[in-house]
Amino acid sequence: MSLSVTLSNALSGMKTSQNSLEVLSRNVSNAGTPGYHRQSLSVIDTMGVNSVYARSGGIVRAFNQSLQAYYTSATSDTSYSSTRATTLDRLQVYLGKPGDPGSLDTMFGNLQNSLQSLGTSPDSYATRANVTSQAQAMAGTLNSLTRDVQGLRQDAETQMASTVDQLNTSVSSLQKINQRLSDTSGDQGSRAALMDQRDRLISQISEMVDVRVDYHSDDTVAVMTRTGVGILDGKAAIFSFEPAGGLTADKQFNPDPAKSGVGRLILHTSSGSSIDLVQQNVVQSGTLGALIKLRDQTLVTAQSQLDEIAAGLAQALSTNTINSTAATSGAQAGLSLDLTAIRDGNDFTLTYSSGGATKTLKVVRVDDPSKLPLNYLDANGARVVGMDFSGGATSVAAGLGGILGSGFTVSGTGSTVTVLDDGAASTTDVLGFAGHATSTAAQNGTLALNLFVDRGNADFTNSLGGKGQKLGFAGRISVSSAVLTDNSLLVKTLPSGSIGDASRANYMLDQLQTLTFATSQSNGSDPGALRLGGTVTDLIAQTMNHVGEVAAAATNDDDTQKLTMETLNQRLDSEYGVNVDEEMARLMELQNAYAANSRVISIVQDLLDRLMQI
Amino acid sequence: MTIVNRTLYPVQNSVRLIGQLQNRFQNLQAQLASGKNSSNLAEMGSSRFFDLSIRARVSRIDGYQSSYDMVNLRTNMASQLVSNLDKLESSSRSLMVPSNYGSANVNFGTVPTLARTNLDQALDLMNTDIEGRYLFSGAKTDVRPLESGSAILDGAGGKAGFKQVAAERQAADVGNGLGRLTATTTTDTVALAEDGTHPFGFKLSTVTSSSASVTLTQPTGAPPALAVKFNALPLAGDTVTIGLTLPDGTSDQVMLKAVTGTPKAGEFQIGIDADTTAANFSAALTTSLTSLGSTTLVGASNNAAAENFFNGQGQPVLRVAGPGFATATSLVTANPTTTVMWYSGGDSADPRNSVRAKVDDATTVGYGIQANESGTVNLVRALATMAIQTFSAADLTSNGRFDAIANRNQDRLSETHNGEQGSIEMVGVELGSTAASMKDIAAKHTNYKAQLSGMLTKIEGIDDNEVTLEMLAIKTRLEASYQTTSMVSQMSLVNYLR
Repeated sequence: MSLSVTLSNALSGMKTSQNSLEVLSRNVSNAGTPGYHRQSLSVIDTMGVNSVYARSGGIVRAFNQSLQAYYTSATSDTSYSSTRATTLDRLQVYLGKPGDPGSLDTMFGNLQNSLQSLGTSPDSYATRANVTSQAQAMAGTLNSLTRDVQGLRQDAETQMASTVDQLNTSVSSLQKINQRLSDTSGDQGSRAALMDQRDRLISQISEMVDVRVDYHSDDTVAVMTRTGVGILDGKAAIFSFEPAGGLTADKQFNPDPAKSGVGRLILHTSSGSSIDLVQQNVVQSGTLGALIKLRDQTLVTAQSQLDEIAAGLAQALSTNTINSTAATSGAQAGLSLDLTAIRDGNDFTLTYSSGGATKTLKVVRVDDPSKLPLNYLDANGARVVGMDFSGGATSVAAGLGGILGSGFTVSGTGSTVTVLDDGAASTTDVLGFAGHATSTAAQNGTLALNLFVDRGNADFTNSLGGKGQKLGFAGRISVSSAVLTDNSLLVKTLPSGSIGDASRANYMLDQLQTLTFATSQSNGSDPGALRLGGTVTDLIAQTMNHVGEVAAAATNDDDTQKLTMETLNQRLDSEYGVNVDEEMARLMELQNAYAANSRVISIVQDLLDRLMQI
Repeated sequence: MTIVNRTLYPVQNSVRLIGQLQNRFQNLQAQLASGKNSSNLAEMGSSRFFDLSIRARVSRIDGYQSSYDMVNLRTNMASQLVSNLDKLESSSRSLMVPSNYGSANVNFGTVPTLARTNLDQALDLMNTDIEGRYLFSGAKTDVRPLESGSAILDGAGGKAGFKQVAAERQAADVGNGLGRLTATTTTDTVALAEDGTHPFGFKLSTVTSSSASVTLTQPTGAPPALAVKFNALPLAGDTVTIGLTLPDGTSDQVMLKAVTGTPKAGEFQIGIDADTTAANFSAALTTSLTSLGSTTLVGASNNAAAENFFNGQGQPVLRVAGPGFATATSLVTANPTTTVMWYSGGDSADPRNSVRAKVDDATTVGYGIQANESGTVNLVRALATMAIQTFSAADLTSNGRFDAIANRNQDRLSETHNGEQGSIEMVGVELGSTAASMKDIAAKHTNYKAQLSGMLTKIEGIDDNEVTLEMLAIKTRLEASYQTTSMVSQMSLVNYLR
């Protein structure tokens, strides 16, 4: 019965054409739909009882697993760099360009110039008033930059909270999609739509957290962070964020939850355990990764640089140098220094040569025993040692002797420490011994002035006690209210002093231009961070340069990532996208096939009619 | 920020590139408008640190520039004041010339008046201030250096002025009329002695004689005393000369000549024996000393009082301990509550460097002036001494005092002091060299700043031509892209299906 075979063949052809048209129309209508994957119909020629006919073998959705994995990871990285670039761009705008009105270097230049004028006209009220107002402007700039930096940290924390909400929504949606996909009995078309939705959700999740996705054979997925912590595997884990309230410079991340001052990001896994994502360093990329790094490292570093500038500024003006006196004992020569004026956080430096090499040792007075022992190399390469001064000169001498070793004779009597070389052997020499002490009063005859003070008009001595006085000082620095009330303190070192005496003004200017500082120990949260060193001018230049560099690097990185993303999008487009021209060409083909099949049917019918008429 | 664009692969790459071109175009437009090649720290790139250090340098130069603008103003002003003082000094020098009493002794009246006018002028000049800053106060720039002329001369608020202090000194110097000397005659010997150990009056320095019949005892002992013993009658024409040192350190002498007739001033009559001759000699000596004591001694006393009242650098103000001035024996440091202090400014041994301004990293210039420097203090001393005098034709001592004071003041104001440290001329020269060195530094800074600004422009600025050309190129590319994109987007099979 070849006619009926012909008929059934033609019918099968028409059916597959119809199915193809259905798929084709879906492709065309979804040509612009986000996340739509091109579909195609596989047509199989089937061996029937006595014929070979075509039938639809099912809808195939365009999908490339390795491309998808690449895409997922690129999404995380792009999101990471974009978040960083945006925030750091804001930071550099806050700092301003060199020479901009209100930028740090301009404000500092103005302060220096006002001191310069003060040196020329110490007797002019207007000149003195200008110094205090420039000093206030400088302090105000540091205060507002601190607010800006902390504002950025606060923003990061707020964004983390909202990101966590989105993340939970996406993960729970994905969980539902997984459940529906695991039911394989559904319509193939709607299944493809589900998978489109699945991939969209994965992209969303990877934008926030860097994840790895395992595709199962039943099209469900398991999601885990790149570091291997499961987020979704059958059951979804839940992210939670406990905000810490307002962030200030001294609220920093600490691995110990009791000491941490920032919000906690926790993952409650489906198995019931909880993981602190920040503490375990689980999130490394994506929006969340970028926010964590900004909040706990980049912006903390920026703040510590501001603090460094504020501390340098305050100390340059408030530090008196205590000179040593010559001391001898037989053939041994050396120097002795009175430690009385040295306050908590102040220091003395000893320059000595031993075996031909000149070395500098800086000893810092540390009153908080929990900060001891303290021993590190500062940014200028000098050895810095912390010591408890409570035992008097004797105990300091003992400590100093321990560090210097043999070749030096160190002794302490009362409040005076004496360091002597080895005399006739002449393998060691004491070259310099000087103390640096914060002034105790505005008018005690010393040239230094506590023009910049800490909160509550407290002297800034750079004490290391507690969290350290330097931490967040840029936010608290202000101009001494005593000087604001009576600006003649800028000039008179004694109440009876002459108002025409320029020595204090010149001293302050000189200190600003010559006194060098060095960042102490590396920042705990960011060990590789740039350490500043030099005069206050240098500190400011280095800070601005550093922020500029970091911002430029972040922008470059962002551009690169965007380019990668672009290339990837093109690949995705060619792999998954709908080419309307192609679909149209196929439409014509199908139209022709359908017409041909219907022609066959009509011919068969003609033939059958002819047969019936016989 | 959304990384995963909701359309997943939405915009055609070509369209995105057009967007990039447009951004670049806008960026160039902004550069052209602002003249700067970057709008933020990040865009400045590798030149950022260089830029910062140049700006720090420029800012510092600006500071120095404002500093020496201010110093320049002050030194210019001070130079003018000093040259005016110099003129005043030369007019004061010719104010009082010995023996120049004028017709009908008119100068007796005009000299003190003119001196007073000059003094007031000098004080005014030295009290000049710029914006409340006194130029002749040394380091105490906020303190008006000098009192007014009337306070200095006449005293103020119960405090003694120069007139009173000089009068006290004059009383102490003149004493009993013989300038604190006592003359006693014992038979043939005349003894002349100072009346105590003190700095006042005549000081005996030498005694000499041309006569062989006189035995002299040179001034010895404390207080010093000398003796003239007539062993026999001197011959007519023999002289005895007693050398005296006056309170201001100048010297004078009393020379007595033996005559046989009636003695005139400066002569003594040879008596019948040694005893009468000694008595005659003693009487003539007393007359001469009294005359010298009311003229030259007064001039010298006023001069010494001026030295003590108008104290120079590092010196205290001294006045006679008293009352009981005629028998006073010492000078004491004046108490500021009872004596007018003529000068209240800073007192530094190196006035120029007591006021310094930093005009370069390593250069400071000193431009302080003190009214108590030698030139100005001597001008004030001379003028004040002249101003307190009263001469009159009726007063027979007037001519002698006039000459004594005229001599001393001419000496005080002489051009020979010009080369001394602190003279008015020297101050002028030093201020001039300060101004010159500042001018050099200013020129150096102007050059340096211009160079630095040039470098800044290179770093931050744009080349207009380059930017305009780039904009033109981008414009062409943009237009071409728009054209092709629009053409390509219209090419779709859909348009050709019937």
